[in-house]
Amino acid sequence: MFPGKPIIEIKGLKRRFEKNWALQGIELQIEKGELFGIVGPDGSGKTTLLQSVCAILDPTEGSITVNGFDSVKDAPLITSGLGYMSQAYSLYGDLTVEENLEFFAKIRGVPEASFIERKKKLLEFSDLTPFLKRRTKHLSGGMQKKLALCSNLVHEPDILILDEPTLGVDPISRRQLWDIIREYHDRGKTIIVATSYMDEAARCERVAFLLEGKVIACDVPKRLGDRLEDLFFTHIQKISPAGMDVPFLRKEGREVLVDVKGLVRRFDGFTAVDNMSFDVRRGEIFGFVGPNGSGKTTTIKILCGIIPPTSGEVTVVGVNVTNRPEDVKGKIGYMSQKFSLYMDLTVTENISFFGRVYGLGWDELTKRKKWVLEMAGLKEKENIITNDLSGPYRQRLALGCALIHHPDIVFLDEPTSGVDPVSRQSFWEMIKSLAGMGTSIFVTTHYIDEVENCDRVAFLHRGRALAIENPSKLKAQYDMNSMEDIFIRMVRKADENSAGFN
Amino acid sequence: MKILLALIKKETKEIIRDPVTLGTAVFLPLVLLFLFGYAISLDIDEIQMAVYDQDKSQDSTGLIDAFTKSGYFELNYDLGSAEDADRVLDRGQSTIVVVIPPDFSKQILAGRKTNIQLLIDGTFSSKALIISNYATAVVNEYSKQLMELNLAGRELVLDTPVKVVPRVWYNPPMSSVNYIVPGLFAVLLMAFPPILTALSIVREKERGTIEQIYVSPIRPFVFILGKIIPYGAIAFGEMLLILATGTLWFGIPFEGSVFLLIAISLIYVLCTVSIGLFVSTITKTQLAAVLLSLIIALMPSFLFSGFLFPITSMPYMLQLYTYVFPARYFNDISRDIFLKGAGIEYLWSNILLLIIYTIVLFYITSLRFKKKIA
Repeated sequence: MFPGKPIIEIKGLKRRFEKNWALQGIELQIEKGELFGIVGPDGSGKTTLLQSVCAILDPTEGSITVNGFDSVKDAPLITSGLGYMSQAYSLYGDLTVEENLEFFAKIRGVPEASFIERKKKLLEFSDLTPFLKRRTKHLSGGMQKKLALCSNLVHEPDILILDEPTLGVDPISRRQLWDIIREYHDRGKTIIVATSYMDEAARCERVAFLLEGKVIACDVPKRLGDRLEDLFFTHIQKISPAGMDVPFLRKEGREVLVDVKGLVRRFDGFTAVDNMSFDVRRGEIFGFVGPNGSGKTTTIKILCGIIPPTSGEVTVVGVNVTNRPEDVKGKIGYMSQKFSLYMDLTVTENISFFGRVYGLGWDELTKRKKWVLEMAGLKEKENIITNDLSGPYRQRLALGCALIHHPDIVFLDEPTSGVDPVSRQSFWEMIKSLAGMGTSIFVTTHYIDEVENCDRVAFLHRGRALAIENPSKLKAQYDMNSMEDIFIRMVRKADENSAGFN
Repeated sequence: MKILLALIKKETKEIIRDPVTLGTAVFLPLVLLFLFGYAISLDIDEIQMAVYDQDKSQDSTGLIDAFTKSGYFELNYDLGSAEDADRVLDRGQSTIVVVIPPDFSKQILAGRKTNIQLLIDGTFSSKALIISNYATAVVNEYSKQLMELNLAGRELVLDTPVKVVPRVWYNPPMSSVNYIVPGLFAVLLMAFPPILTALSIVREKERGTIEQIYVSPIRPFVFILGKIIPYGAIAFGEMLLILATGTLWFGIPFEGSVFLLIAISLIYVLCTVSIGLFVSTITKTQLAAVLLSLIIALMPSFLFSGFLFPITSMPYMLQLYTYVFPARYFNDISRDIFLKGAGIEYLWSNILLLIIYTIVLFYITSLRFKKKIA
């Protein structure tokens, strides 16, 4: 390559999906060997932009050249030198770790000798060596992401394109992923990475901020500095938590609503929840934090009476869940990871449906429907099909539906997973005002930074609670400022202890 | 070539490790083969017959005996009134009621003509027609015997001037299982391979693994071949399995060349797998892929292949329509080889059509498979 000549040139790129313009005129040049970040909220066009660069999506208008090749005419010449890690699960679940790597190496024509050498190195670097023979569908989310990255590195592409590689990944895996990315970049490769984490954006050499299909800023992160954060928080239309202060939500008291003693849940010889005890009071925000597979969802499902515990005592809003699982269901709100909305119904149809399910009368339903629409910022969008809503709106609608019968406690299972940081923050503001009015919130998350919003937090690791404490107290106790560091310290210690026992 | 091998290896492993795919490929066709082999019988025997005999004479008993001895009728009710006749037909207990008048033998003795009444359940018209023909034949034969007896008393001999000696070719016992099972091959191979194949690509679209294929140097036709070969092999194995079971278990006579049938079924299998691939290029979800495969592959293979409903008795336009579905060609080929022992000199036109069909389909599918997301 000639020095200074960009390896990727994007000119006037526009892309339309039916009526919606996902990209509205992108101009970008990326140099060879750059680590380039693309930042922006959900629906800003990050994925569309990346897919266009990969030459697997043709522009509606404008052009993209990669290495001098046109993305429409010379697509095969572009793809052959490129690695692309999509947001979706991109592995073959029924193949083992080793077989996946081998498959991706073979279809890229990697010679046997280099494959063996690279495989060894990649597996070591990503800590996947012990899982060589495991089918990928049985790996945790973080491990799958690491393997997906390795599958793209095994053919050593000159350009590596990563679409939110750390989304929904536990903090330890997230660090490892970035170590791998950085090491690969040090070898002079060009990397483009889409992210919605501020700290990840700051690690890039240059960052483009994308909003509604346009680049509104593109510079070195240092020079963008605080502007980057400002961009995030000012340019994005914030959904402000309106109409939260309504009389019918107010509840007084500090009584214990959830009381769990010695909870155990086993599945076929594997213990998902191992002797857990805690309580949650009225108006408290109780956080459940831990990597995928640490027992978060299992515990929530037990508390909601969806699955029975193997042993232990569980009382929720005065109901013994083990003996009378059905009685608890009308008294609590539950929002599952997948939001459980009917995607083909409109916003109001969804609200009405859940209201009727909880036995609300017509007058009551009309009143609360109005409140949900206001709270979720969906007042003008009430007749939109749910499927056409963006992630943050869906999330609010799901919360509204979970609160329609104003339960004493609401269980939120990873409510912010896959939602951009700004929307996440305003969602938390909403949660806080809800708690302030006397509704208890039981929330799971794997975004460690969100923990600071909780009154108390339980750090989970392999079905056990490593600590149940107030976040500020934890910081003081460990004399550390980052919750992520504290968690990693705790996990290491727990692993050392269990290794000691073995 | 290396890429193709890698694709096939990957696909094979996935198939072997997924019990649903393997079960659908092996188990379901066998279940259907047995169900159809036993359940669909176009043969008519053991016809349930009720009799309202108002005469109770030697002649009337003789007539009833003639019915039961024919081997097609089974006497199940001896009725006492005309109302009873209505009742057994209404309830479906008998499909035919023979009503013999009170003066039956008196009239015969007097040498006069007499009538008997046959009440037949005509709900299923073609079956009723056959029953009516059988019954008429029985009655004619009986009255001929009576006539011969009568003439013999006067020392005369009756000789029928024209006598029919029917001989049935290709399926001498006229057993419908001999006809159903060879046709079933065409239907079964059209039922499962397209669905499995269509699912295998659409699943990659749904899960997102297809994007890795898009950004790799794999050429579209190599990817398509990488799907056709393993799924074709499964379908071929399926064919051998049902062929062996069909001939050995049901004892279907095999007149023609086994080798020829297997060779042609290999072409047919590639064709049905290609249909599945074609479906996968126009659908995005697994559900849509299954529904579309059912509609364009399975249903027509039942209706328009001649498997159950003879093509020659369809309206002309529909007869032309049947050429759209390859099951029609293979159905003919399979039955001709099985029952007639036909050779390539007779089957070549159907074989040629099948080959052209497969090539065109493969070509269209490779063109339609673009390595782009939208």
